[in-house]
Amino acid sequence: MSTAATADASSSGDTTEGSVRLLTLQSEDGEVFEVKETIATQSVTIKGMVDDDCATSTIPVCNVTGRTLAMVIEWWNKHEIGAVSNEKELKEWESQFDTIDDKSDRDDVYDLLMAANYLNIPTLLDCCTSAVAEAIKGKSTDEMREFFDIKSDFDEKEEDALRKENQWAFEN
Amino acid sequence: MEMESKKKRNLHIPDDIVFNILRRLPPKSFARFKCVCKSWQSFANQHKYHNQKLILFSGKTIQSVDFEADEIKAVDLDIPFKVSSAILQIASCNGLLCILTEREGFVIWNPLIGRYKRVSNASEYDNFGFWYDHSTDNYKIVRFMRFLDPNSESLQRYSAEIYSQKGNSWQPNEILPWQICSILGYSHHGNSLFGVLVNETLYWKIKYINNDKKYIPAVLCFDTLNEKFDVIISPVNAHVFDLVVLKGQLCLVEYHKAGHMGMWTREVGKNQNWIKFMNLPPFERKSIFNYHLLPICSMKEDEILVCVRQLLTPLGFFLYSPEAKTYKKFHICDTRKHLFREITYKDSLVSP
Repeated sequence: MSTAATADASSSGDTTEGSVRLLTLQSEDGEVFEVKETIATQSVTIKGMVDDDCATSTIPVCNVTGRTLAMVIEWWNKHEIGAVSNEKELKEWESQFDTIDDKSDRDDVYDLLMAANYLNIPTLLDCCTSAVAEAIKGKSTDEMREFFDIKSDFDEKEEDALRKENQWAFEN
Repeated sequence: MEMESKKKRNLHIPDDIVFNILRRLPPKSFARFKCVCKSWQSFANQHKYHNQKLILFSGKTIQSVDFEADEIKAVDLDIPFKVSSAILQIASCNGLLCILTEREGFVIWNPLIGRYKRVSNASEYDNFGFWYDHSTDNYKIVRFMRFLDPNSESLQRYSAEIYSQKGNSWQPNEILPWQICSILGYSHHGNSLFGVLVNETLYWKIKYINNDKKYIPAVLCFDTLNEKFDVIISPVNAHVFDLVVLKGQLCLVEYHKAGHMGMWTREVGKNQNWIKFMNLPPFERKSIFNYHLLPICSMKEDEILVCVRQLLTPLGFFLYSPEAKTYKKFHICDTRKHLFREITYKDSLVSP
């Protein structure tokens, strides 16, 4: 997955227009981003703040690092109405999120997933959820426990019985 | 920053997101991950797949039709148990099929995961109902038996017994009021032996003896949550009717001699009066004596899937468009040519 995000959203937006309001977002680790309001309101959370007039000063985006926030802003820019001319191009761009190959990808998707959840961005959440589902579908139960950091709460007997009951799901 | 994100971290994903991920998995992965932990197991058991399927059965074969597939065709299901006599009827609920055979009683089978369980049944029972009790994670069957009662108007009455999976036995439930003089399943066509299940309630067509000692068509309902029976009188003049499920609601299909059909549902709320919400025109402009139409389920764009029969022989499936008021052929490849019957079905990971 590409991590080279166009963090400087304001460079693509025309600030001289005057009618486009810029919002200031500050990541958990202190990075500051200026983003067009029309773009940032793809986040239901931010839209709520704008609607309630709470977006006049810097908006702290807790739990989201600057690195992740840059990726989120890249997502917003691509998904702004009119930013991408056709659906196919957008799907192709989105497809980079579909594959999670190594650990750093996994962490990126995890970060994006949590950011999408916190900021309530349905399109991004949907995409990340699908990506994770795609990545884990072939895994064993032990790999799943490792991936999600879950400890089994079955005793040995229970797990054996359950495995036996779902034997078809363990066959190739 | 870069370095930090590459370190091993613990992923603490909120449950709702985890479940959102799990529900996107193919059934096989999903079933395997039941073994990860208890909360995943319970989520998997409660999960409902939304893909509407059709089950066709005749003789000893069962076919499944997936409406979401690229090609709409009937696929023979591999039956993992022996069926030595003809399949009389199948009911479905929560991904389980309840199959009644002539000689071997019931088999409860989840065709997706392949698990099944036999349930014994004596053959003298008239009619059945099959449901899944979510509160106790238990599937149940109700059966009715007729017995002689010289004190009742029709000289007979029904008793009901309930089978529960957990108890693995049949228990007497109650003797039905004598006014209920015959229980007929849901379809006037063919021999339907199961009640229709809608929103935790089972429905059967019955003949009911009213205060004037007249035999009138009515509907017997069984609230599966409280396990209580009740009787609903059918809409005025509806003498020949079927009970079906459309869009998650009970629908009474009233057949008129001229061939058109009135579609009735019950009002939500206190009164629960019958209201007619649609009329279906006659098929090929013929009367009821030429064709029998049974609505099966609602499809995309409010179209209704209908199975058309001539006498007992299925002519095939048609889509009725309420907007255009026309029937158009709905082709399903590889269906058996001879007499089949059909029920709707949805996948689940529940184990019988």
